[in-house]
Amino acid sequence: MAAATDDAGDSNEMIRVVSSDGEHFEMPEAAANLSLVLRHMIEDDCADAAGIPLAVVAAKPLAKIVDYCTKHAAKSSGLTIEEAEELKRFDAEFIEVDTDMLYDLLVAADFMGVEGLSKLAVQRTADLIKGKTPEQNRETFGIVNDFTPEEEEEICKENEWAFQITKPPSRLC
Amino acid sequence: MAPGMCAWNGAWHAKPGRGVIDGGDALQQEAAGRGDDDLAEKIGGDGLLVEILSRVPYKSLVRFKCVSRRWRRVISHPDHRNLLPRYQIQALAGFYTDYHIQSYDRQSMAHRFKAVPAPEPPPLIDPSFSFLPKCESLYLRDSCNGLLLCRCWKLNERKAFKTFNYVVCNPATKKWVVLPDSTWSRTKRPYLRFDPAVSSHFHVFELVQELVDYEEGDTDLDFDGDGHVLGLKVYSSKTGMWTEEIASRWGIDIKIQDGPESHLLAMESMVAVVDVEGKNWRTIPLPHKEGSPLCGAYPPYASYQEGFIDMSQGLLHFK
Repeated sequence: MAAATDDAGDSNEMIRVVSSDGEHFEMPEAAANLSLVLRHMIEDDCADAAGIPLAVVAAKPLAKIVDYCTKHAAKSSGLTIEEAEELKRFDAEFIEVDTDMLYDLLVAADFMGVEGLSKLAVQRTADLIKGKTPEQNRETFGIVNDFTPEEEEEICKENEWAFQITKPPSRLC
Repeated sequence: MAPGMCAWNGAWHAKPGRGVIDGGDALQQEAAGRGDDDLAEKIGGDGLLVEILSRVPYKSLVRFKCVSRRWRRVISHPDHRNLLPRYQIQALAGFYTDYHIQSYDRQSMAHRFKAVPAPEPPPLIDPSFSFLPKCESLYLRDSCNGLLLCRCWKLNERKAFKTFNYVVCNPATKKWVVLPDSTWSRTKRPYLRFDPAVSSHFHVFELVQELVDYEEGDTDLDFDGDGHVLGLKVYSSKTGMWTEEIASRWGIDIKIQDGPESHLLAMESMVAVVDVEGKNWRTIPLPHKEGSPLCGAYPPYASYQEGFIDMSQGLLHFK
């Protein structure tokens, strides 16, 4: 339990994590502590030289998450207005990713329990989908339309007003 | 520390994989009718989707019911009702106002809509109700959770207003329902009740009051009397019919509290309550009245007129 009693912010110890596809990453302990899952592992003395295996997080999103945590851990508390704004800019740039990466980040952040990143990815996803038609969302996320044409027509009809955004109602979905 | 503790590899979290938004395995299993998939995965995945959907406007949410079965299930699930945007909160709130336009031989009504808080740009609300069927004169009588109750007057062959229809409409969707013909009497007072959390059906109450004297020549079409309540009739959008008049079973004299806020009846420091089927009649003492569970919690009031009573989010408020 020694790690847990250290002041996490001052700890210089590096935590190793291993992605599902076998790549190794390192980040300061304070950064790893931003992940609920990693924090519990560290508290339970499970962080060793071999690294903590993250069986469902691939290297690409993990690299991003390590970046995110490292940046946020370095500026955790007592921020000046300028620092807070810089962090906000960092977040805005950080989440400007393609939908595949966004999707991976959503799942991985939720899985690893990185609250700030999870919120960021969720908000970004909501912003992406909200103005779109159901069909556009299906395309974006590779969702199969499993309604029968009759069912689809019925749902569209029931909620016709919600489809009246930019197109005439003749082509609803 | 037991060595076993370190063998964690994410197994307790099932395999989130690509199931969060697209439905993944769960979707195929559902489609194939093979029953429930791994519960942990379902909860974990739905949680994220709910998180995302809680951040889109209500209109988008309704549209997204059409994306897939899974999205529709998540959006319609009762457990998610308080987490996802709802019509009353996300959409539009404001006041409709009626005002009279008096000309030489007739009076007509105009309507205004004032949204609160005033959005920029102004909402696409048409306060003239041009989407409603044509009527000679339209009066707003009540509103409830996004629906409006209007009286739509017709002229008879002698050009006199005698009959009207109640029209219940949703100004956001421009949908409306015309109730069967009604004959006006100043003893009747209409109220609208609609709670989308309970049912998609609405009820219109017509409280029947004792006939009281009124001034000869009183031509105000939409003045509703102020006598004691004798009973009520209820229209249900489910049956599409009015009930027969049901006599009051409150056991005491109930008079409608005047004023624009008169959604509920208050007299003798009581709130009189009746359910939508006219079966369950009861009274609730106001907080300062002996017998009320809140008696003593409020300073005594000189008279009921100082109180303000209304319903909001399923709670009865008294001020």
